[in-house]
Amino acid sequence: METPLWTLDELGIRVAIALAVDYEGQANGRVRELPDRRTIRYYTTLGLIDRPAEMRGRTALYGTRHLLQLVAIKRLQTRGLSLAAIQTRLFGRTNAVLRQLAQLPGEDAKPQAAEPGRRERFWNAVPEVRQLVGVPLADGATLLLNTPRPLDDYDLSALRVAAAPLLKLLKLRRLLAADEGTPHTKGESS
Amino acid sequence: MTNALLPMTDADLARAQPPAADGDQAGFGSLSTEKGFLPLKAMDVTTRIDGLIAQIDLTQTFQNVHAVPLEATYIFPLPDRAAVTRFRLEVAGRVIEGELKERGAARKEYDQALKAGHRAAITEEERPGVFTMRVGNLPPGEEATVCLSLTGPLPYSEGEATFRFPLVVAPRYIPGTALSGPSVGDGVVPDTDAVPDASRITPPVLLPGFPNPVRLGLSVEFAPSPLAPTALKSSLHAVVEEKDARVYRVVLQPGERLNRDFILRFRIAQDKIVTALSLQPDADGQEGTFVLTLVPPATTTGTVKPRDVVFVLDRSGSMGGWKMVAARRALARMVDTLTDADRFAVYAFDDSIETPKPFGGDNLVAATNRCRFQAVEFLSKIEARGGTEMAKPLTQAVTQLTQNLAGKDTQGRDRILVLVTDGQVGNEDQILKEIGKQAKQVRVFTLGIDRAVNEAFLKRLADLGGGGYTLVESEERLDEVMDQVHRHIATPVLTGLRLEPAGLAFVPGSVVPGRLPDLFAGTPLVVTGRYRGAAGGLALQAREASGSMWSSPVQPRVGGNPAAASVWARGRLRDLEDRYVLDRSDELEKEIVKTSLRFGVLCRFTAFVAVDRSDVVNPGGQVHGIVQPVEEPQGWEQPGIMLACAAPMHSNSSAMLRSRALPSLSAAETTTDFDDSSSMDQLLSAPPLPGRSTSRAMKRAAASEMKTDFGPERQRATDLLQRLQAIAPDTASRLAGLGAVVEDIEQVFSTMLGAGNRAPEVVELAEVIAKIRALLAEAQPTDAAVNELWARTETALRNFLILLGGTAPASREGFWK
Repeated sequence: METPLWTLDELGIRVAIALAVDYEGQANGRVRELPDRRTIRYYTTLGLIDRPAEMRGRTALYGTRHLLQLVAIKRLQTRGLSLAAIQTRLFGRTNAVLRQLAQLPGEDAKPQAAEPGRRERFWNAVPEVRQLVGVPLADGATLLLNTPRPLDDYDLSALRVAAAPLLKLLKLRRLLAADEGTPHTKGESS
Repeated sequence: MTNALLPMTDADLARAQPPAADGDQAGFGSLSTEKGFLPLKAMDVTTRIDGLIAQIDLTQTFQNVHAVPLEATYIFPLPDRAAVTRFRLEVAGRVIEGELKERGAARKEYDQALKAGHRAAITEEERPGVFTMRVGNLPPGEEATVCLSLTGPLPYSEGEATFRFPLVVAPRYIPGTALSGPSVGDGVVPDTDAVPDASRITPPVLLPGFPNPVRLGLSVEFAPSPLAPTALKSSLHAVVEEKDARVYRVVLQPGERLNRDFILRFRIAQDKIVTALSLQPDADGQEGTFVLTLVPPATTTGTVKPRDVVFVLDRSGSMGGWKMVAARRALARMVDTLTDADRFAVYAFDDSIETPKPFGGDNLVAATNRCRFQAVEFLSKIEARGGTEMAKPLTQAVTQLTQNLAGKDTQGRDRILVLVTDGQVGNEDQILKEIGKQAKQVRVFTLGIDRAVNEAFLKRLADLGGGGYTLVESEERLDEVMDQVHRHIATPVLTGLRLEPAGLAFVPGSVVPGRLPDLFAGTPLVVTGRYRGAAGGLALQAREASGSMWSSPVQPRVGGNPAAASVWARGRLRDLEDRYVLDRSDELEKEIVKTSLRFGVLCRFTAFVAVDRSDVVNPGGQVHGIVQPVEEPQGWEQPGIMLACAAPMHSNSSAMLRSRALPSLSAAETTTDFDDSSSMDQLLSAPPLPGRSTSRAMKRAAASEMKTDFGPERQRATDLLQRLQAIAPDTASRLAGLGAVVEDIEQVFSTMLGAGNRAPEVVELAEVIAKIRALLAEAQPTDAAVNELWARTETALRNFLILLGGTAPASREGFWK
């Protein structure tokens, strides 16, 4: 039952990575939109996130539930919900519900009864094919991967973040359709 | 191995896309409710008032709307003088009578019951007025009801009795440095060295807009009594009055939120309250409890003693709005009643202490007309702000009053400390400990101003200082009591009261209050205590204002006061607990536990526990824990949630959360007014969706979303860059120059942020702002650091101009070449 504990910075990085999946404004690859201590403290007072799991010396440590809570808050905020509405929905919820709201994979959310372990209908089985999976990075750029395992959300978000410099380069070299509405490409031709 | 090139499946794509907004998702695994997913469903308070004693039954109903077994925690207030004498748990159609045990034993029993899978509940006292209820192993879909029975005396003064039932524990200022390790409670603030149980008195706070989650019922019934109440007035709630043949009842209108005290005042004719001694023998007849009501004689002599008075005003953030107005009015009135013969001082404190001009030295100042005027003028300008560092000003005040006690000019003077506050601090014990011993040499008057006041603390301070306490919950109430308020600093009718046996063998150490206060006209004193053996009388002795002795015998009346033992035990336990704060000892703890268990009255060292052993509903005892969030107190100008999270910022306790935020955000912080949380949210969230949000910042952002012309910002940035480049290249000039431009850069940054622009070039501005601020705060910044930052700022502005499509003036860095 040992759950990992993170410092605020470590927690923030995990939140940012989790959010990167469908978060606009992350394309520059800089992990920026992290919760700061004031926000954390404010949300804690509202019961939106739990108090730090533990203090080690003067450092506050956070766990999985805090991650779920923070990501869920952000998800609801992107849906345009007010903080009071978010409090109504999030306060006191179980990890399983939070995981759903946060759209994060994990044990809690998985249905228990499905395939793993049992190979009952073995007669239907076909030889394993290692799949080449395409991950769309941007309009006109797809990453092809020969993966030994299926990609999960963490993989996808990490890839998005890591791909940002490459995309920037592609844009700079005009190898990619220019993305309207990103003003910072303007002065780069010189 | 075979390779196949496959497109992402629909499922894969769906995973990579944000799912459509779907409110139903939120309901997974739980019953859907519009009122959130909170454990406390209803609260009912039924009170029966008989003379000046209230019998209260409090019922709390908890529900589990989750898919897993629940442990509900509710941090709630009770009247601080009331004795909690009974606890029952109703679950699954059964009623389990709670048992009062030593607190450690009770907690252990509760934990073991949970582990064994039984339903259980426990009630603990955190402060004289703050309690914690836990109901554990409540199965999904089930309800549990807990009932507490209380008995308490009603304060009576100037012909008026007050029944106050608090309904919310307000956010409190928690000073100190965070303690290492896990906290002892489930509240939102970690424990600190100054408040080692901070996590037990800090429930989460509901935002305005949260649907009323708790159904509140409250009624007060008056028993037929010779002390017939008249002129009933509920000062903060609308009530319905019902009368039938014999009973008179007041019922609260439905739909009220738990966001302020319930205060009911009524008049009892003053000639009905007379000096009397009532004896109530125990069942075994060996011992008994006495209740002495002493009505002070009306003032006859006009003797006025010269006074030394120190006024201490809490001007912390929670005092904003009407509370500060009322505080200033009350203080100004008291200051005005001083005369040239008196001496005084005035302090206003938040994190720091301020005092008007003529004061400030170690000595008190003569209350001349001029000084009084200066004090009133000073008070009129005080605005609420900051934290509540209360220990220091009180220590300073008490020290000032008690210094040089043997001195000639101090002899024969009344020494009075006046504290005006809402009492919203968590370190009550620390404060009492610091001023406790000295405070016995002064008289303390506390004026509590709030609709969810920390009355227990203000009464403890007043008791310790042998003085009085007055509650003001509105400006209208202040109008009513204004004339009484200044009497608390007037010359008492009787001082140095002593009880002498006259037939009644009372137990000397058992008298409550432990320090008999000075008596003022119009305010009867109630003294309780224990006696042994047969009934008998008491002789009262005291000194009149003129200096002559006063004495009066009282004859006993036996019986008719069954609540006497509980009321005495509660007062006794409070005295012992306060003494424990001053002089901690094992013997004292044993005595507290013994008294509590013997008289069946809950205290801080005991707890009520109830276990339903007939069922195993949750083997293993894994529970989902929820702390019931509480309402924002009514009449707080600055939201308590803001104060609660802002408060420790001013003290060391912020250290616990002072772990380094990433640069971009610490930079953003400096530009974001914390009081406007929504702008912070905006900063931290994705671009707002226009028209779907109600938050101010989002509206603002949505309104300016169309803004694409940054002409003024471009102009401003160009100016800034030129100013920066014009600075002489020495360290001192550059440092000064950076300090001169930082405000302007911040304004540019704010505008961009408000327009939803978070390009890297904009964020870089924030980082530069933060770096400049940090550099300016340094005592001795190095040349290298200054020059590096100057260069970085210059580059940031240049890049920002490029972003806006402008042309940056050429760098003049190498101009000397």
